[in-house]
Amino acid sequence: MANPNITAGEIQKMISGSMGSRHVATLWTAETQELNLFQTKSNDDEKIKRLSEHFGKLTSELTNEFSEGIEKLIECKIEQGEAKIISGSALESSINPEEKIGFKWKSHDGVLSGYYAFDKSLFFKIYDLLFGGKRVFVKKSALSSFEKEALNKIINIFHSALQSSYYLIAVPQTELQEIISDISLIAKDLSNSNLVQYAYHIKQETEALGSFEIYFPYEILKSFSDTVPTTTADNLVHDNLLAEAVKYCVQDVKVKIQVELGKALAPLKEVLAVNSESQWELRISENGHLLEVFNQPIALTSMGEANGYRAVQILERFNEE
Amino acid sequence: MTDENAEPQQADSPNASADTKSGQKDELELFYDIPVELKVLLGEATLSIRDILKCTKGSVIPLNQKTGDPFKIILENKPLAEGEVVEADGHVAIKITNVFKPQEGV
Repeated sequence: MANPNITAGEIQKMISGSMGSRHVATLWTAETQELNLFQTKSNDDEKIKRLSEHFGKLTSELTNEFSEGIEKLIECKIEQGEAKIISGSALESSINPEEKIGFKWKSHDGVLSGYYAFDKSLFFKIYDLLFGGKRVFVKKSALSSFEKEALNKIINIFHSALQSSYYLIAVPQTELQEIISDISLIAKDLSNSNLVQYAYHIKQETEALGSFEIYFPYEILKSFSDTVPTTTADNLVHDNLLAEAVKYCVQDVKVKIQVELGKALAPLKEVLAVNSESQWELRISENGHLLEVFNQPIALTSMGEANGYRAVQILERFNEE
Repeated sequence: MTDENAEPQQADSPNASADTKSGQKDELELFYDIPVELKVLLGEATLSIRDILKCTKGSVIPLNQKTGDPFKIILENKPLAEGEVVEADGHVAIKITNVFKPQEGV
């Protein structure tokens, strides 16, 4: 079977060519942006230190907010940020449960639909990689519209539960403690999965509250779970998964095919003077008619008819295994 | 020197009138006899890549053209004209029935 020529390298190129890190930065809180973290004159260590202070303050504020009790509800707007696919083993090795503050995700009806978490170490790894680091969590720039569309198709199953942008979040302190203690177990469970990591941003009408990430087990994505490659290199896993995901979705793209009846050779003079009287000898191949996509022959066909329309039947597929 | 001898090819030039007006030779004249390959299409269809990949030997793909429609003639990926298949001097030939204007026939 013909192989769609989309490589992980090309995907990388598409990603890096779409939006820069400054744009990604705008996806974080407004307060973060005010830190001017993306000025090139600052070195990375300084940026990370300043961001560390900011993030500590942010998580502290949110923890206090949530820890006031179950009656404390925050009605906020959840905005989708970027999505990526990671390996669970990478998640496990990257998470320090002691540093992670997690919450359960609940919708209006109280049904637990997932976990979300602020993870300090993860956050900084991601942040670091915004500036060219090469750790496990390769932080790419925000997804291009093409990739976003592709991944959205994959993750639509989850979005059915997230269609409304407004949710009530209620996290009692006891539950919070429980969740924190469960984090290592969660990470362990997830480590056997490949995950879809989705970033969301919590906002009130006038105020940004923060960002969080949801990890969905990749196995749920049954439609293409069998395409997941097995490899131990985390970055490779990530890139391959993304490439596989995009490769799967890109197959929905519609393309025009052309079937050639034959060819005619005409002197340029006659072509320039073409008119309704022009007539040229037509050479029709006896072996069949070429079916082409963007001038690339992919099959040899025979001519036929179907319901009053011309049709072709494939005699031979080229490059078919 | 007679007029005929001066520019004997101009009578055959597809841009003869323009040449006469400008008084210049057609710059393509040098290439007039070069054979140009024209592709005559049986038809076209739009399919998803997924559907194309699924096609195997024996698969039938309906095209967008009705059986009686003229055949599109393509020059270097651009639609040039359309025509019908005829027999001429014992050979199969394509006879032009309509020449596309620029952007037409795409």
